Amino acid sequence: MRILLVTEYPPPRDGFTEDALHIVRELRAEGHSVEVVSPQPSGATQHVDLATRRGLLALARLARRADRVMLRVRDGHASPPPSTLHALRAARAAEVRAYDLAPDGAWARALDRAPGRVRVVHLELHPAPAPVRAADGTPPGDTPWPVGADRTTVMTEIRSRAGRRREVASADPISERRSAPVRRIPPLALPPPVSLRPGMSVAKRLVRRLTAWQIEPIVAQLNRLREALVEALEARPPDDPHEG
Amino acid sequence: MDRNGKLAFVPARYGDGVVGGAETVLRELAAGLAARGWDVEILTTCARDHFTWINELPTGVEREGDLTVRRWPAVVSTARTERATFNAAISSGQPISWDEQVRWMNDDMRVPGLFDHLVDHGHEYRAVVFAPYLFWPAYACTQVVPERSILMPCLHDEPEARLEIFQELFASVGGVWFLSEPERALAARRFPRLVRHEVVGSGVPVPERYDAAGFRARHGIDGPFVLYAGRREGGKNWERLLAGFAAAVERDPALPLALVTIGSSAVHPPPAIADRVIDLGFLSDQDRDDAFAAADAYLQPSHYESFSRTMMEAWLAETLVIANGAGDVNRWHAERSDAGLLYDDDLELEQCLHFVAEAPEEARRLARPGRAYALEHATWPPVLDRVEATIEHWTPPLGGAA
Repeated sequence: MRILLVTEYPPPRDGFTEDALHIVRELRAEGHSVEVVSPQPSGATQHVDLATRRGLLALARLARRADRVMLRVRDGHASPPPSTLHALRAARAAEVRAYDLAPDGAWARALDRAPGRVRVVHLELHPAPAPVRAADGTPPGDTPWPVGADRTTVMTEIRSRAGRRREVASADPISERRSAPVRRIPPLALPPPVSLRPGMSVAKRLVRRLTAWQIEPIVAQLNRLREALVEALEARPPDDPHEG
Repeated sequence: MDRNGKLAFVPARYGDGVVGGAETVLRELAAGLAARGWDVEILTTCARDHFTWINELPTGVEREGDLTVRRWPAVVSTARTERATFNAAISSGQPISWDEQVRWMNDDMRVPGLFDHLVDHGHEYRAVVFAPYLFWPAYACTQVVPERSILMPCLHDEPEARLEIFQELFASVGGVWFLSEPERALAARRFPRLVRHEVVGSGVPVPERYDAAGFRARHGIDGPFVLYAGRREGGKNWERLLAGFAAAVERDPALPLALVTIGSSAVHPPPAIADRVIDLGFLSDQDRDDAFAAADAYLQPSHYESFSRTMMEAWLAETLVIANGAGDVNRWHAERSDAGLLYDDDLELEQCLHFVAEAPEEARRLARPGRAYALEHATWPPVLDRVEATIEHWTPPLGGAA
């Protein structure tokens, strides 16, 4: 069966998009041909701007070619808008999987009026399970903190655990010393747009909003450079004494 | 010891409710010297806040214990727009000319009354002690009585320290007191013409008792918490600490720690951790001491420290210190005391917090050597001995050339 799945899709990485991946894998494992369409650019093969009439027409064309259309929705700006239901009229079979909808939300109201041939399934998205802790409160993956250890041992353990979370290939003390001067420079962040002077907080917020399109990409790029530098320093093999 | 001659101490702000390491050190130093028999005056402004410089206290002379306090209005006569422009250039490392640096200094709070007082009476003081170096009173007024001026710079490796105008300041005063060896080393790097100087250190009062349970009861704090005390400002890395704490909580919402903070300025926690950040504002000395004892750890996010009184206060209460490793002074104390953890980034801060939350007894044990360290290196009597020795050695006798 040719199935068209219309859904938010990774990235971003969250429970909803993880669930989309799970559905695709299951359907393909059952032998179906699954095509994914996402409302924003993502890992899906196609993305269609469903907020526009042109996008809805494009989705209707895709829906006509499919044997079954599955639309996944939830409340929130990234989800396909309720007008997407119009495009499903073109489908031979359509199902809407609605997750955790607010009863008075736009999607809940739209689904109340959905055409009878559209099957609506209300679901709860199970939150990601909380990290399981050991009886002593230690998070998974970590051994308990050393008992009776000196400061140096505790510092080594702290750096080792932080290194594992940085996902560096080699969380060894030498590479960490090498990257420490860079890591001590905090990631660049814009100062909070607040002021003690009357009216200035509003002015700062306005300036922030007006300049965000220029400033934020620069900040993000600088922070990526910082991360790349840390990664490069930590991954670098020890200096070869015979080199140079 | 010949204690003849008046001493003047010149902080930009002075009095109850003034939060700041330099101001506190100067206040305790002045009181300590007065208690040893010196005639000590405080020459300062009527302002409490170092952003607004609003004159909140009365102009004139008053007696406060053993000290005479003289106050003049802080004058802010411009909109400080030029200073804001130069500040942006300085903080981003762009060079500005010597002339612009002077305009930057003068386009801020000034104290012409104090300047005039020193023009007329400077020769009556045996020594005039200025702190910190960054404010107008130290920069402008040391010029009036250079040979009698002693600078306690409270220097950090901030962008302003690279300004050319401060080269002449550090080269022209009668002497410089440093609070720690890393501060002296930094000054030696930044100011090649540094005049005679001494690492006199600094002290903190040793509380007679702590009441951790009373602190928790008074403020309704039940669970484990980490503490930050001081100015909640970007210059002290407060926002960075909030961001690091928020990231740790985001990665592990089960992290069972609150962040209690005491001190000045607004807190502005991110919404995600607003319910975990408890701002107690300005506390009495006893309540502050009890806060240090009640905390599971003390956080020192600032890397602009010349001594760090709060690290000492935490260690006196046998509370673990978790400090930003970017600060030379923080590293110096943590490594010499063997009682402080250092972090180089948010992930290491996060693991320090996990250590405190998951192994509180180990954290307490690790903090214990800190008390002996603070008692050895941060009590007033040896500091006052060194200070008096330098005054005797450096300052010309009254009646000489002034």
